[in-house]
Amino acid sequence: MNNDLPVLSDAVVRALKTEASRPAPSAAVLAQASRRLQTSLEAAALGGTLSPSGFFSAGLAKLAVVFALGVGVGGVGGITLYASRRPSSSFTAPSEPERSRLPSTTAAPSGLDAPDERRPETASPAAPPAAVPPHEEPAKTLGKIPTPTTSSAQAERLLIERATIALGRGEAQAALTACDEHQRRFKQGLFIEERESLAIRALLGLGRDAEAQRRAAAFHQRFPDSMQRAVIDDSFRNGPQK
Amino acid sequence: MRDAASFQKTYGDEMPWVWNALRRLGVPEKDLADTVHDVFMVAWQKRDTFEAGRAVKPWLFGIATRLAANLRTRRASAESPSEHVDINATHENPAQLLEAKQVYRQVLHSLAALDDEKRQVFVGHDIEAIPMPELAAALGVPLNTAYSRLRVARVQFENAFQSGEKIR
Repeated sequence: MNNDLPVLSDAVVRALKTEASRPAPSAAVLAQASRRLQTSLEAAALGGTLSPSGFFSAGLAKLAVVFALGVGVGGVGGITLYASRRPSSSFTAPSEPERSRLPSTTAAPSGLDAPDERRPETASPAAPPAAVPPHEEPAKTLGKIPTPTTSSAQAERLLIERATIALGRGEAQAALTACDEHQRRFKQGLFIEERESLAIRALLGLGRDAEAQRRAAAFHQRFPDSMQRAVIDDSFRNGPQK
Repeated sequence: MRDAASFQKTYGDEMPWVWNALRRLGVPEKDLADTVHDVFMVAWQKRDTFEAGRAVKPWLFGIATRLAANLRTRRASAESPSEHVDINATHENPAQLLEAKQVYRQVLHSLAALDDEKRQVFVGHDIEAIPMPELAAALGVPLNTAYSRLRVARVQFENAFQSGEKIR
């Protein structure tokens, strides 16, 4: 069946070998991506009743951002972009036993654990898996904005989620308020880059372009390798929710 | 793979590979992080469909091709392929790095000459070294179709690569 496959030239074969051995992204980039994925998996466990098909069949496309809460927080991709890239498959929440098996926020994936100086000192190194907080109901209602809990890491994440949802709804002031609260409470937080990205987009949404510019310049200086750079730059070109 | 611990190991092991595979499938640099994230979220959602004992790469590659194709469809306006090269990459000297960057650029530009179907087969087989039967299954096409696409893809890639080399 493959006898008649064209044979590639030596130059192409060499080039493909070089391409195949292309280095992976830096450990820092991978660690950041892993943390984000980890957060999404935990958020999926918390908000797993959300289903994209349910959203759209109900004509609530605008609330697709809430699905972003279910599958990914931090606004890394921008709310609209994120919601629009949701797979068409139905989202199924992990069952209760699976929730308890989900890895904890502080556990980095094997081989990707880069030093993280931004890890909050208050976060317990042996934090329990991302189960539903005992004093808080999981976010089962569409549009419900999570309330921070006493867990530092979780409170931080929920503030970011709150800002993400607010920005997705076009409530830029609410998003900025959540970002301000995050900035006040989590000076060494895990999601500083995500917060700054959200805050800059919120400022743009409020028409405070000069402030957004200044904050973006500071961000670029502080986080020259951040994955949020593209999101921020894109928001200046296409609007805060693009 | 079906429980969180093994899934965590899977994404720890395979994330770098998925990242580069998506780049070869034409995902722009600014969308790579999002799309990598989506690949693993979809994988988590569909973990029950993964057959234990099978290689995970073809399965992830199948997910990656669909997400990359969807993204490229939405971004109908042609975007230049991702040419980012991590400057922290382990090259022995700047000349090597420069040469490698030229190759990466040329390969990605040549891949851009292929349509999605041919690119998927070419990347999957000739770069990622996924065996054709597994690749065809992952892409959801008959084996004959996969070979047919690869046949055309090789010719088109070779032509694009050679013409690019002349320009360079």
